[in-house]
Amino acid sequence: MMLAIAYGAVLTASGLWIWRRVLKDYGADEDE
Amino acid sequence: MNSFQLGIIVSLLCYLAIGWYAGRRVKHLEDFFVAGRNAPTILILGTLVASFMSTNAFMGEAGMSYMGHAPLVIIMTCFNCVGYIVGAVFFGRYLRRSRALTVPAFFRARFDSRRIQSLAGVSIVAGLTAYLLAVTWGMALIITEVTGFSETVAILMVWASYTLFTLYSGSRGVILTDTAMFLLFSGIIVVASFFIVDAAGGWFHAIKSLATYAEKPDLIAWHGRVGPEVYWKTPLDGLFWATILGIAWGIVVAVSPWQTSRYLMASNEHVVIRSACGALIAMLLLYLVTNFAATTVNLINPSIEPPESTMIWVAMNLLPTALGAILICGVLAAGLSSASTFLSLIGFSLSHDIFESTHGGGDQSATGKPNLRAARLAMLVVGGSVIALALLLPRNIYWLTHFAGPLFASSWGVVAFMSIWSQSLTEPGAFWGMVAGFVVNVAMNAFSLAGVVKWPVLADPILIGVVSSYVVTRWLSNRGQMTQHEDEYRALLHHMPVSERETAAVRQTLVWAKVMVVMGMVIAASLAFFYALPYQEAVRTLAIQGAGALN
Repeated sequence: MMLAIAYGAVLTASGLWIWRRVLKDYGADEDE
Repeated sequence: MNSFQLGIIVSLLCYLAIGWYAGRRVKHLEDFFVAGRNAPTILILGTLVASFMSTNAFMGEAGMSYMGHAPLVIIMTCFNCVGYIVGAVFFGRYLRRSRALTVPAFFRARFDSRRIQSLAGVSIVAGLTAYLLAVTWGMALIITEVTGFSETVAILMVWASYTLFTLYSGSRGVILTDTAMFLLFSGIIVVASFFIVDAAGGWFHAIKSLATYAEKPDLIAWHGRVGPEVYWKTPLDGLFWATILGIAWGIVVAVSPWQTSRYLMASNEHVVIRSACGALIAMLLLYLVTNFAATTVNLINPSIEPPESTMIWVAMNLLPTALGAILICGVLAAGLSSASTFLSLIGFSLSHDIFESTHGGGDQSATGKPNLRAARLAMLVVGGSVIALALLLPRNIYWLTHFAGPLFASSWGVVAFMSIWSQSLTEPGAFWGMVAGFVVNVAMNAFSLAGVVKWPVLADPILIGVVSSYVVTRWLSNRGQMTQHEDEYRALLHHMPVSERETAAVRQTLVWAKVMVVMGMVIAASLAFFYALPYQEAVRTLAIQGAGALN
């Protein structure tokens, strides 16, 4: 279970962080 | 001629044809070095993954998984893949903004220092030549095993295939062939995995059998095999090792020239970020599939020797002949794609960063024609040297791979990130920081190779090299001041071009972030349902049966 959660967490956390970073650096999106 | 020989020759001819097609479009030095700086996401993603995954992924690491250490390889991958995101956001997109032709040329522009460019160029030539040698040996070994060709013929075949298209088409050809190779090895490993699981009795039967496999206990437990007979004595030993190595290779992924130089070819900064997201997804999935498949092979043949040839055994004994030939071509493709990237970078560094022979008249020679001859000549010379070394030196693929790859993390890691983010980094700090990281890493590896000392995991040469580099960089920078040029250039790097703020481009990049979030949830749920729960059930049943037998 630990591996399953770790794998998912790496992708999900990276995705959320990239989302935040792109909005911060390249300007607000209309969806925001 | 058998199917394997035919498959290998046909695949090599295909790469040459792609290289020839791409080479016809090379007109300027920018075309040759950075593919005209207009590559889309799929090509950058393809070349990122293809140049990182060499034969080692399908032989060395697959062999490790066959021996029962797949979970450690997978934990390591979790850490090193994050290097893509961190590298792209904190270094890669700024590197692209510099519009340098090579990574050493970026360091020169940033610090107004010829000696930094030369030093970075020399470390590329030294490190990547060693890596190229290891990959050449790995590919020659596969060809020798499956075709029966002699080692000399195999080495010459391998050399000719990656040298010819790289020489003619430069980065334009390399990113196209890399992407084709990435699609080939990704596709065939997925297909091969289906055959392996099917031969092992189907998915749930395979999980149950692996969970209760008596000869290699804990084969698919979260820590893999541990105990007195293997390198890792306890689960914590294994976790610690995978974490440290994963972080070290994460730095390699984030700053090494054969990864970050790909960003110089991206058509814009969004392509840099999107391709890094894609590389993270692709690597996580590919490593999961490849290493689980290699572990499952135990249920079909538990005595493959050496373990590194697990995938070759699968290709020759388990898959239908045509698919087996494609799997061999896929494993070779992983090696060829890394080799072509290494050779091109060595050629660029030798001609552009060390001897400056491409500089006359900017990117054009005195006759007005692109001055590409020097870069091609450099590749030819290096390629010739690699053949000589491959034929003369005793083979040591594992050590060379683990020495040459991470060398850049120690030497460049600190300086690369600080060149973007530090407001006090000076030229002497950067130069001597790079020297310190390089020397400490090489010296520690040399002692280890000579058998003088065996470094503990915490004192891995990669990490000690990084720490040494940081200490020297900080210490020297604190004793000096940034010049006006350094200050202005750094400020320029932080100036975002207006074109990068286009709403459509931003939205498209956010799609990649959404995909990552959703995929993360889907993968976690799938792994829980298809792996963790059936595994726990099998282990619990075995324990109950064991207790019943005792009673």
